[in-house]
Amino acid sequence: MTNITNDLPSSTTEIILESISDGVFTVDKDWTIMSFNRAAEEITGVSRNEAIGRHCWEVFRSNKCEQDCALRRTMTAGTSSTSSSTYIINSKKKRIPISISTSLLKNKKGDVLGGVETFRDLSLVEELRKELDKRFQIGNMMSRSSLMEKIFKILPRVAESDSTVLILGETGTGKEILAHAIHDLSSRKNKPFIAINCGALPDTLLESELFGYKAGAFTHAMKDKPGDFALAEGGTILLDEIGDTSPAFQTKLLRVLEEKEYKPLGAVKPVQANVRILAATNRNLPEMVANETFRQDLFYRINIVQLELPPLCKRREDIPMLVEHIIDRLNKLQGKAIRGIDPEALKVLISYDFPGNIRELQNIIERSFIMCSDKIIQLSDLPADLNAQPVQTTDWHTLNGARASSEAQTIADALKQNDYNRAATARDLGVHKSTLFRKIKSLGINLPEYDGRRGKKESQ
Amino acid sequence: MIKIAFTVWGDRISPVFDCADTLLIVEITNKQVKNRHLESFNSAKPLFLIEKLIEQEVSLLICGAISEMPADLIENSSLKLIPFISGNVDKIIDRFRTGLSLGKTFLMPGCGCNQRGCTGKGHPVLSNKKGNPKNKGNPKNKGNPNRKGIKKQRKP
Repeated sequence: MTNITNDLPSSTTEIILESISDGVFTVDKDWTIMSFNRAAEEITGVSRNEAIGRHCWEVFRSNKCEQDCALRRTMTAGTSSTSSSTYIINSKKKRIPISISTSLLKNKKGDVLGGVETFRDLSLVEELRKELDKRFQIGNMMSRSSLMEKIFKILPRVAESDSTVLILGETGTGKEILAHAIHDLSSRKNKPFIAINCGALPDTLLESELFGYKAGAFTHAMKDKPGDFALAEGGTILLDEIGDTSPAFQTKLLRVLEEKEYKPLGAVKPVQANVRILAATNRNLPEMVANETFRQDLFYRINIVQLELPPLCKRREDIPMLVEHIIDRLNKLQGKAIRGIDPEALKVLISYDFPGNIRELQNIIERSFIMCSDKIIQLSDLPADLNAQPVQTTDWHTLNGARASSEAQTIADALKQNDYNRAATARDLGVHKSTLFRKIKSLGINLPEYDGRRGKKESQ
Repeated sequence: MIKIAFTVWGDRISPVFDCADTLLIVEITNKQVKNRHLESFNSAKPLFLIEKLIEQEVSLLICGAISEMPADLIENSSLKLIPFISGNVDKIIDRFRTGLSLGKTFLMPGCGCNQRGCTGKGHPVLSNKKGNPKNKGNPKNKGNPNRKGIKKQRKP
């Protein structure tokens, strides 16, 4: 076998150094730069001619030069160091994040000639990290989830109009907060926002609460009482749990929506209502319409714009941020100084399905606050039944974790749009079918047994 | 009388202002160093430094590499900033004492006027004066291809 190293020219090391994207420079024992590769020129903005012969700190200009020089540590201890993060300042006053590795520079006899510093430009990584840290926020709602981003994007437009909005979502997903956000973004923001839980009150009481009553309308009705519609005049009213109202009440509500007027109990004349109506429910209204438990005409009247809040288990990437937010809020409310949550405890929370959604998460953190005797919420501070849950391995804190989540969501959305037809989905996503299959498998996306293609054939 | 502050690291100008912690404040009167003393400071709080220096009637701050944020704050104050300076601090003081400009000798590598983005309209380090209008007619600028481009666009 031919010895390849013998055939290589003596300048091989130089060629390699010039071709790599990591900056490399060498110094002698007096910290004078002896060599400076092409990438080092690019990252620092200092040409080789200017760098060679100068002290390394004049060229490199890192925040660690003065107090914590990695190369000095290597030269003193005689051991290499790898990947410490720092920044340098270029001649345009820009801070460039970098990682540094250092080692001794020795001759063939093993005598120390100086040191070698290798550094990598982390600007792109930092930009990505910042991008990842970006959160969509409207009012008191914040999210990193693509599902929520869609809602946040259209929300200003929805708020601008005066149309009725139907907010769907499981209990605890923040329907009232979303309604409040719509109100705050609308031209009615300086007028009242009133939310009423329609499911919590019997019909007669709900009617008097909403429409008010006149003196003498019933026993003990000594004087006029304005209802929520009158109190919210010019503003917004949220009819929460609208799916839980009786057909009789639904009829009265339909009148308000269609005629823009209502009649307080005991009143002779109707009253004009200048109120924007938002409705929310966790019930399946189309199914209720089909079962004739919800009026079809009312459903069409309130379903002009529909916003569906995803359950927390579909936006798990938001859990770390929400936990942080809840801890901050509770610290302020309770005057505590809990700094955060242990990563293991956070993993358990991320793996949990949260049937009670954000409200349940809030309750869990509040309970942990009581149990927590340290500065950090530990696994043992979480409810015992939560600890029994299997833990997912995806780490949403990391770039890979977040990317996997985003990818999984995009693929799931595309599959749904294409009625689970894999080929059409792959086309839509601009990837090869085999790549899509590989991704579906690696990301653990559950598929129904049928696919759109087969379904079509069967139906034909 | 002129009072100058230097961010120092031993007998040198500190390489990076953003993590420097020692100031050398020098008072020069009639070409003589009348007073010099060291002070510690927190570079993470540039506004405090500006207040401190103005209080002490310092008019010039000389430092090494500096990032945009503190540089902008200092440049927007009544202080004059000469950044990207390196070398022995006593030699630099001597230059000021004798009324000589710093010249390129003390400029950090990569920070000269031949750098991309430099307007060539007079480098404060070279002239010791903020935005010296005399340098606007620097003959070096005549060779600047951008200037040629502007000329071509002019109407005849």
